Amino acid sequence: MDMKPPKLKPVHIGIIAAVLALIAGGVMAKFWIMPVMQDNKVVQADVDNLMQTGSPANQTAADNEKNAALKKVAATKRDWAGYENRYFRIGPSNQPLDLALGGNRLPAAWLYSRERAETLGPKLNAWLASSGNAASFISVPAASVNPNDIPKDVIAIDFQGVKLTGTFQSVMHFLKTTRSAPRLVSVMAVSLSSPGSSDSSGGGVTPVSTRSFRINTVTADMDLRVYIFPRNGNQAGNYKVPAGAETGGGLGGASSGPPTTPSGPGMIPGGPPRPGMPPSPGRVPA
Amino acid sequence: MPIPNINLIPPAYYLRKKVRVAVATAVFADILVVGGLVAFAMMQTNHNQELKLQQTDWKARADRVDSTKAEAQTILSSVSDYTAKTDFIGKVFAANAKWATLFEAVRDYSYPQATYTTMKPTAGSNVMQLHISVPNTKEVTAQQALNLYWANLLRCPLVDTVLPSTNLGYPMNTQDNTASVSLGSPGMSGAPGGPPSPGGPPMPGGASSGRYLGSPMAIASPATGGAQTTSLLSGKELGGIDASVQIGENGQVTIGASSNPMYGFDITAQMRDSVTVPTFGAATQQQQQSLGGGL
Repeated sequence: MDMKPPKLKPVHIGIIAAVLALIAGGVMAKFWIMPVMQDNKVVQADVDNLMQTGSPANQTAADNEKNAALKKVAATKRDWAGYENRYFRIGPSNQPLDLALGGNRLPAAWLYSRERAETLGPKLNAWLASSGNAASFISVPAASVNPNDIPKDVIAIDFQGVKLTGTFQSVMHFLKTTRSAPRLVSVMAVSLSSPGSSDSSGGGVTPVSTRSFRINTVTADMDLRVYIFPRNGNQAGNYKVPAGAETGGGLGGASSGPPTTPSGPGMIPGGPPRPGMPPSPGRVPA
Repeated sequence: MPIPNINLIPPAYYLRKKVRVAVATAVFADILVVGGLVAFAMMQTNHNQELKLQQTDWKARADRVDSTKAEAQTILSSVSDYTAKTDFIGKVFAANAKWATLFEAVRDYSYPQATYTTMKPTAGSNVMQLHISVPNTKEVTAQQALNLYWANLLRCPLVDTVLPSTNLGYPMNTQDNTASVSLGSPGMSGAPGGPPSPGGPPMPGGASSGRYLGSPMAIASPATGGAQTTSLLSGKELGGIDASVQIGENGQVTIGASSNPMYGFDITAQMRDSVTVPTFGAATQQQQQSLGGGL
């Protein structure tokens, strides 16, 4: 039996054990436990966020959004089709100004020139006359249209100094019902004046101030702008007419004659209709 | 006699025994500690794996939501061109009708005896230029008529202020001499008119050139009944216009043989609302063709 006393006493063993435990615990905590816990924190935050984003309520809302979008698209297409049919079918053939029709812009240029030469003026005059007011006569000068210069987004045609004379109510009604115009017409400016201001009888008119409107003739002096939206404007660049061929096809004559319906006193009749030149054979479809 | 208990085992023997117990205890304690830590670490690791599974699951759901939303936006953008156009068309019609709204609002709040010769709103601005004529009779003086017109117009919900500068002309149509005077603040509560401001330039006349008459003055508030106010025409004689026209201290205009008792005024009304005429796309993209109306 070894009777020599041990070199380590129990207290030393305890200290060594504690130190070893600390070292082992520290190493494990640093290289295993802490990284995992840290990762858990990050992942938990991410999961919470994702749970919020991907919640059934959000999914339902997104589905509803998609359904609403589908409905809006259908409604917008329907509205646009209605507007296009109502306002943007032009020319004698009453068709949209399609910049891609026929593979080049000549048909569009032909249609646009005929709209200006034959259709736009009479239609606007008929519309003004149908308001029940005496209207000045609108004529649309023919334009030499380079097919490549047709705006691809929107065409704006200005008419300045258009006059409309009638009762205050009928002029107001006209301003409120521009939806009935044959084209999209924007009233850029308007002023009212009383014809009686130059009346030698002493200006005995009360055009807008009295509610009885016994004598209430007013003249609206308007600046109008007609908008035409072409079709396929985003592809228009693909359908340019080659240089030298831009003037192919007759591009319309002068403005048309007087409106087809009477427009009351104050009208200045236009000249006789002058049809445009016929299109060049083979260039422009009939 | 008790037998003595003699221990011949050396103390080192016990010490070694204690040490062995201590070592065993220490090893056991360390194993416990390390085991506990390992168990904790394993638990965290398992939790981490569970979280990652959840993360994958919820990410798929979130992606599905995002994808549905993106799909909705794509669907909407597929008709953005049409949407822009239809919105624009709606704005055009609304703006067209708004002109009428402004005219009708001013009409509805106009003194019935005043007659308009022009009403001119400015697009994109809240200014409306008005030219009115008011009667000047023994029953209703031009001063009173103008006050009533002014008081009525200021009650219009669409009218913010009526600018003070105005021009007075007499008689209408025949001899458009003008005088420039000033209108003060409306003072609807009965306070006197506001501080005077410079009058405008004389308006171009008809047959004869305009005459600039009178220093800037404040006009009476309609609500004051003229008791504390300065009359528009007080003490002024419109010499050169009509020899028979005299303006009394109380603003009464006495007209002699004149057969046309109307006074004209230019009014600038600041509206609370204005017509904003919409334009489509950039101006450079539009083909602005000022063709003009063949009138």
